[in-house]
Amino acid sequence: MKRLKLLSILVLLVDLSYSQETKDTLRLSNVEVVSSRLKSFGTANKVVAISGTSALAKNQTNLRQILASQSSVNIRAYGVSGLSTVSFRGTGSNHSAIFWEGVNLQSPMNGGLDLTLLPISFVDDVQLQLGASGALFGAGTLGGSIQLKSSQPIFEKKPISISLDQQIGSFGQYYQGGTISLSQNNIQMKVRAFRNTADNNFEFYNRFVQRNEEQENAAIDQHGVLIEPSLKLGKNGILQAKYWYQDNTVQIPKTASEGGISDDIQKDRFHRSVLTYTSQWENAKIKALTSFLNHRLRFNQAMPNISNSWISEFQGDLNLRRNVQLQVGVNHTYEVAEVRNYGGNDPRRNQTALFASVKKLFSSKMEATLAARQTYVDGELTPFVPSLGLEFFANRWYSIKAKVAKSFRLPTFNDLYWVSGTDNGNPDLTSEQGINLELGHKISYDNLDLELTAYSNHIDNWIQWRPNDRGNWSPINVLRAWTRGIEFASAYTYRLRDDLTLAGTLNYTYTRATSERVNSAISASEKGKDLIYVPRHQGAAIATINWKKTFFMINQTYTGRQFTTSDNKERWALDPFALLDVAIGHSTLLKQHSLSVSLRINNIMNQAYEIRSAYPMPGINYNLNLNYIFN
Amino acid sequence: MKNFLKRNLFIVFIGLMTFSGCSDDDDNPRVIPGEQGFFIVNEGLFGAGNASLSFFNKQTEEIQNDVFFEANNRPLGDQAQSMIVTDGRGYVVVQNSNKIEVINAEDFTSITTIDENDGLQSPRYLLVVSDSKAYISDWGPSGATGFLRVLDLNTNEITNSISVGFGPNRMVLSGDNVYLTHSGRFNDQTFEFIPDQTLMIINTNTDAVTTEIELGDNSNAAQVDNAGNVWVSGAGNLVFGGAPDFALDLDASTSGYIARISPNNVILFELPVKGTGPNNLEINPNGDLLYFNYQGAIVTASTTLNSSNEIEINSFISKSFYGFSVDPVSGEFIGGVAPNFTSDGSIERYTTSGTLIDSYTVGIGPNGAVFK
Repeated sequence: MKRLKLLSILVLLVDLSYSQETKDTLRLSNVEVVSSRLKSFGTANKVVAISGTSALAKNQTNLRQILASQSSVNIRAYGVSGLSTVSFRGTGSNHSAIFWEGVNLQSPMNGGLDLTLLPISFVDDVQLQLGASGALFGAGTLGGSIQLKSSQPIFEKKPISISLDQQIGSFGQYYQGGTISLSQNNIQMKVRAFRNTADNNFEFYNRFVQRNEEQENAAIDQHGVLIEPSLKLGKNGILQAKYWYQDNTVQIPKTASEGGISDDIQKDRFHRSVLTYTSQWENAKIKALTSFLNHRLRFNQAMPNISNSWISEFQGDLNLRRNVQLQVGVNHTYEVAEVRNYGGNDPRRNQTALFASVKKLFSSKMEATLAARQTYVDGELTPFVPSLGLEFFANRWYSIKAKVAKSFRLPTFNDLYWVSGTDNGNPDLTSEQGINLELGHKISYDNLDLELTAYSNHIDNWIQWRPNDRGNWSPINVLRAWTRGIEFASAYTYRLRDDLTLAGTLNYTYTRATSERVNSAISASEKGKDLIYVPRHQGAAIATINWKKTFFMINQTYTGRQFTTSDNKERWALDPFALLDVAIGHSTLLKQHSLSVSLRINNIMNQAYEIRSAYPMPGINYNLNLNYIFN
Repeated sequence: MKNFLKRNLFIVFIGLMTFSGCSDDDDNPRVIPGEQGFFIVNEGLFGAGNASLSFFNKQTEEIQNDVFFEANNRPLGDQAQSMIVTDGRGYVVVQNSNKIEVINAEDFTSITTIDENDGLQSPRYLLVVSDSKAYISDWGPSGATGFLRVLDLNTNEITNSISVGFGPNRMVLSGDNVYLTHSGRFNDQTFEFIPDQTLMIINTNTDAVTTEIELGDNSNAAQVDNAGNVWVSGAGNLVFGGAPDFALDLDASTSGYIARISPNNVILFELPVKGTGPNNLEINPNGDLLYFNYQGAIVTASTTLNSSNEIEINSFISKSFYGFSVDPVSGEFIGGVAPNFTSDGSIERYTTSGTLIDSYTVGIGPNGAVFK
């Protein structure tokens, strides 16, 4: 209860301070239905937005490919169709949450989400929010979050619009996708579906046996549907339902170092649904959502692992004065899992979180957001997580921002309950806790955008599964990690003529993630060493030429050396790799019909590389995309 | 563990089995070629392909790490389990790569690779049974079928495969008989462990299983003493309860044991504390003192039973190791220390009285020393 009081005190303090304000010229935007929590209260957060319709997204199938091509975060991929996760700023793959329509999709079983299983065609808007954000988004956001959304419904009388996609790619890849949208003055119905199959039988040089081999048992077969009816209720209200079903069958190949043949198959099937009601008035807005997520994972013929989550959230926004915006809300998340390997346990977890954010504008020069969240897990208090973001607008084109935020992560059900053979979970795990400091500079001048960010994060009680001295695995609160780094992002657009534009983006990140204090059960040789699979240097350059209805794009990425052992032996480090992709496309418009064709050549230099040790990735490969739109 | 434990004779089977004309064969079968150094097999992290081989030169007391890679410019592979040295050649069994790397034992250069194309599926241990023949224990494709492969040492070809039990493991040669231990297997669908109780005796002339002895669960190593008795260690079957504490289920688990197999009886010495070993069994150069791990320590036991048919267990080193070996010439004890499998381990050398001599950093997961 003490924490609750603190929360209200924080809100109260702000209340007192704003009352002393007199002049404001910076204006709050009107309360908009479309305005997300990140947009309204993400002051000083570094946000990278990726449009699902950009050239970068063409000829791509899943979210992994898009994120990998622009290098703001590190993508960890176990081969081309295997598990892919994201690492923000040197943190682990379950240290960032993926939100779909505001609902956290992190699996209660393992805390992750496979980006390979996330079709880009089901998402219109991708935003990467870098840095801890526990106050805004709750548990599990130590490194950052990915926010995925469909575009807002448009209520206008329009009988039908259709979009059809066909991709044909190397190694037996076929992708078919379609979207159909119908709308009236107060109702919209949108249905999307896709099917993607690939053999992934690419040839690679196996460095272990020193000969070329063909990748076997790496096929993927997935299909899904997303149904999105939206209803306008009265003057202010919108009711939206979304239902997402997807079925994935993924063959799991052996690693390059393993012998024999693999016939392992993993099937992931999920039902995801969310019902959202929003209503807005001149200076207020409410949003209520309820969501049910079901995930069924089956490995070979083993008993399936099933998890269910019910998530409900209510939030209210209020523009208190011209210069103060407030949001308060409550989130309830109930998770259960049925897993044969939980040793007869039937884990269930109730989380209730209260959260509040206040944004205040100080004259024309500064904006500040104070946010906080308190979560109760099965009635017990978890760490109180506040955050403060400040943004100072020095002039029209230059701003400085600073952020300090706390965050935490609960152990997953697997961490707590998993048992197989001599490997087992650890019920004594405590939550991970993080604190994040960052400072950024932002220049937006004409067609030039530059952003330079420096950050420093500490994560304590980091949970890792570790083999003990007999080779049995168990999770422990193993270390305190310090991750820090510098991120440089730039974008420039140059319009040569009305029908000719050049655009370029350049991203570079320097990341150091080291273990600062290591659990005594672990070798002292790890202290001060880099965390594994965190490249210090990473960068991407994208250049696009748009000429009339034709585009040409070059995409170069670089990933530096990565250690794979915690004593940082050079011998086992993964070599750096640079990948060059090019794409070219053309579209034709004929009245209401639009037809575009594009070709992307990935890894045109045919670079052999591994993102995860002994998981080979394909050399040069092609993807041809045909898109038809009827509007 | 300073006090010594005393274990009672548990079961005696008399005349349970017949030996096919080998009981007169009492000479010590252990071969001790050369003594200038030994190899360390560094298992690596399972699945990560970072196994390696180290060589320790006893004269200069220098360790050379990663010798296979240095000599051949390619990684050793995934999960190096064991190695033997015979006739100037080293045979390194790399289990998860389904292969045996044959190297020149002097300069570590590759001679050939025996792999799945030659008929290996999940090789575990090798044993030389004659000048021209070795046996390979092999877990088979999924662990559900175990095999003993017959390797022709002249051609490095597999000439025969014999079906054996689950998880065939270490072997020992006594006369014309090979004693094959079985460590059970994981069910690859439910991840549950299925124990195996069988010790198999294979005649090296006919390559056929002649006798099967039911011991305790999950035997793992065997030695021959100077009286010609075969000693077998077994870890018992470990069954863990679920959360919250994942404790060993003492009722469902079975005891570890040491067994003595003589021409006319089998004596099983059950170890009272379940789930604490043994996982390996070594013997001193004289062939009269056994070394094994038990209760988080290395203990010794004399091969001579006392008047009431008991063996005495004495504390030797009060810590456990990922793997260990006893130098067949000097009798020094070499323990492999694997602090975890994500960074390098080390080896520790001890005198015959259990005093630490020195230690050396080696590769990831050192599981034992191999002598040449």
